[in-house]
Amino acid sequence: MNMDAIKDTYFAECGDQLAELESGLFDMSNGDTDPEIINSVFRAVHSIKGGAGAFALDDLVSFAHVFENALDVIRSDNSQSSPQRIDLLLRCADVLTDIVAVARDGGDKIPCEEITQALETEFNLEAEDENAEETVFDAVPISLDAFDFDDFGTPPKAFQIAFAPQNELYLHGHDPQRIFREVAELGTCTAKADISNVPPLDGYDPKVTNLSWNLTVETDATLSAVKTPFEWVEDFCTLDIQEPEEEAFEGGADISDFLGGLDLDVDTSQFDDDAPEEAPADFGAPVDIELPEAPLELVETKEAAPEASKDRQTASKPIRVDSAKVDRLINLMGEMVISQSMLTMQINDAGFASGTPAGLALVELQNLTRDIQSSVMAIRAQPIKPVFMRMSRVVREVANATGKKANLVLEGESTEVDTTVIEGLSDPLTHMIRNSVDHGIESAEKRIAAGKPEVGEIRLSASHSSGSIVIEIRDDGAGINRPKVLEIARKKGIVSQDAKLSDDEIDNLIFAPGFSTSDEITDVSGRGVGMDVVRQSIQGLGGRVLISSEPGKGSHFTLHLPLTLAILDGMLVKTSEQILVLPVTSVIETIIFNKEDVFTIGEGNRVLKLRGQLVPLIDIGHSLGFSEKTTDWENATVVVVESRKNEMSALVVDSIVGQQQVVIKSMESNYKRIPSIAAATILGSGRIALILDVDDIVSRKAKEVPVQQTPKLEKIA
Amino acid sequence: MTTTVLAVDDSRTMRQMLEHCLKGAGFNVVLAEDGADGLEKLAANDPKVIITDINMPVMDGFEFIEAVRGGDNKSRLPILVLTTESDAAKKERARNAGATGWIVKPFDPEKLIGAVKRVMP
Repeated sequence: MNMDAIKDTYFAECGDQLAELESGLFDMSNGDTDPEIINSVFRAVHSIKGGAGAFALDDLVSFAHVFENALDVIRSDNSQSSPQRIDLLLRCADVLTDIVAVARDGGDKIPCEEITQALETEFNLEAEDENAEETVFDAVPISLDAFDFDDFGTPPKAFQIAFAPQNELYLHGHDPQRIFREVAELGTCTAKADISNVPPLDGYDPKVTNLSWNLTVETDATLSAVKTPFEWVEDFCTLDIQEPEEEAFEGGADISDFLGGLDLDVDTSQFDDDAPEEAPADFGAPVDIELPEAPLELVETKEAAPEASKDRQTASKPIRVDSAKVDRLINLMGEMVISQSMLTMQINDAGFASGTPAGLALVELQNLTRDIQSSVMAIRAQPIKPVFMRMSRVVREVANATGKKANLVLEGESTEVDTTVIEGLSDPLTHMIRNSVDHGIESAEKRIAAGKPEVGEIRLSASHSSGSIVIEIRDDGAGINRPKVLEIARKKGIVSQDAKLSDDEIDNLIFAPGFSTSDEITDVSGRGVGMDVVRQSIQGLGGRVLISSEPGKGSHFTLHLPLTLAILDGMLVKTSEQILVLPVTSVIETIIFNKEDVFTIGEGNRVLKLRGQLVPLIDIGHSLGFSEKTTDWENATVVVVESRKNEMSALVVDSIVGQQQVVIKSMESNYKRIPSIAAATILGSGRIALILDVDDIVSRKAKEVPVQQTPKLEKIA
Repeated sequence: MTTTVLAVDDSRTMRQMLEHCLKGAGFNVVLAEDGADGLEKLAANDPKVIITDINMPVMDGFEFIEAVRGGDNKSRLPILVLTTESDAAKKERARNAGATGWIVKPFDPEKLIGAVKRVMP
């Protein structure tokens, strides 16, 4: 492992910490005062700072340092929290995110002097000078580099050290032997144990330390270097280090004599709770003693784990897996589904009925494949929360930039979504949220005048609904300004001057390419990306965007996204010698075609009468261009499908082949986007089949038959 | 015999760095991600030196040190506190809890190894 790999880990971890930070501050801004939240927020900044220091990311360290200090004010005393302060902290989180991004990807230094000052003022932090941090590091008691400062010109001096440890010294894991060893590294060292204070055996208390030592070290090191080995024990001993005036000193025994002397055998069983080790007997005079080789191993620690650790053993721990490995698993999963359908075909062709052992085994395999598939998909599923949390920043920034007041409310942020979907969702969602604040929410004055709360609300929610993810963005703003939208659309030639459009159609114009509602391109929303790009991105994810709006009440965007982008339950149909796949989720029913139920309206527009309702009839083979003329209607089958907008269509096909899981292979990434086609798949036979985009097919047909021309059933009947 | 060091830190980055530095210096390394995990690893391994962070979820460094020092078998293993905390009060608290010494993050690998060697048996 090299430092680059560790750095990668660091930035990956920063991502997690920043998400934690943002989410914690968000909870705090909503009035949550759980101390664990501020603790986790503090820890996040603290960890980012810790790692940044190791990689010498100075900008990051200094900003995180001030940020951390500010957080510490609230951490120490929750009553110090105020909405204003949390708002500032949220902005700091944004700045920190940017600094991390620059540290990772490079780029211009993020200006943070202003916000740092704001933090210092708001939280009454004392501005630290540049060297403050250095001083701290100098205080690191591992000044092995003290040698660097040695004056090699000075002749060796003999330091006299009187060292009398107290009980605490041993209790803190210190060992005089190790300290002496370190002293001895400075030069020639001699040590004498003073056991004059050790009481006779009858008055001996093993819990009391009575041993002390006198050391002499002949060295050219400085006083501070001699003190260094004792730095950690200063509070736990009586220490007197004398720097000699003269070179002359009384030589004691050499350190080797010291170690070769009396074997001090300490029976560990004597030690109870707080017992430090000590000499067992009174010898009346100083003697050389040998320190036990590893005196600190007096106590075994095998059973030291308390209750807390027991609980953890049972809790499941997340593991981090490279997403490439999961992707590979998904791919293999897809191949397995294809192999399984090949096998199914072979077994069916060989004439095994479903009740035979081979047939039963196949059913078993199919069930297993399905289970494995959902398990594998679950691995990829992630809560949508991180993306949602990012939106709170977007709302903040746009509100600040436009001078509006808006609050983001999140719902269902724990909803799990495929990681690919999550990744692809960030940009379009950002754009939509931006639009909601910039174009949707009115200024505070207008809101008050309209009798609304001063602060606008944007509600972002996620939920699962019949095999898809539904993400909704609602704002309580002004709603879509339809006359203005229509005017712009006409001016830009998106619709003809005399076109009569329904409210719904006008609302949908904002998705038209080249449409921008803003008269001027604003800093906020007008970044050259329109809602058409948003729609494309969502379609790229296999999803749909719907809009509804009510003037004065607000707008409501709904995104429907597939649970997974990898596998689909498909109904295989055949038309014009082509096998096509329809997503099972959009199929309502299949019926045998009956000529008498078909009516022609206008020019060539046919509808099917289905239980008293008229449904547009689409000859799919013809409309996709597979056949020049319509299907032979005699033996046709009709598949009734429904789009996500609840519009129905009846697709005429030659026959239904079957139903199976198909692996989705993107057309866009392998070829290009084709109207009415969502993707392709490989069948068990090795043949490629196209997966139909039902929504697109239905909406295209719907446009061909304008709403006002749809005849009433009575007229036909 | 290779000396085993137990390193407890909630940050993945720090754990990796500690492992990298300590292994590079020839130590055997056992990693734990918080105090409670540290106690588990302590019980399951036989470290000669413990390095621990202070600010951790579940069980922080202070509690961890106290638990190590206050267990049924009073351990006197050297415990080095590894933390960005620079204020004296926290060091004092760590010391009172039973810490042997401390290293302020960001650490210089040499200093880290020096500190470990200084306290190891």
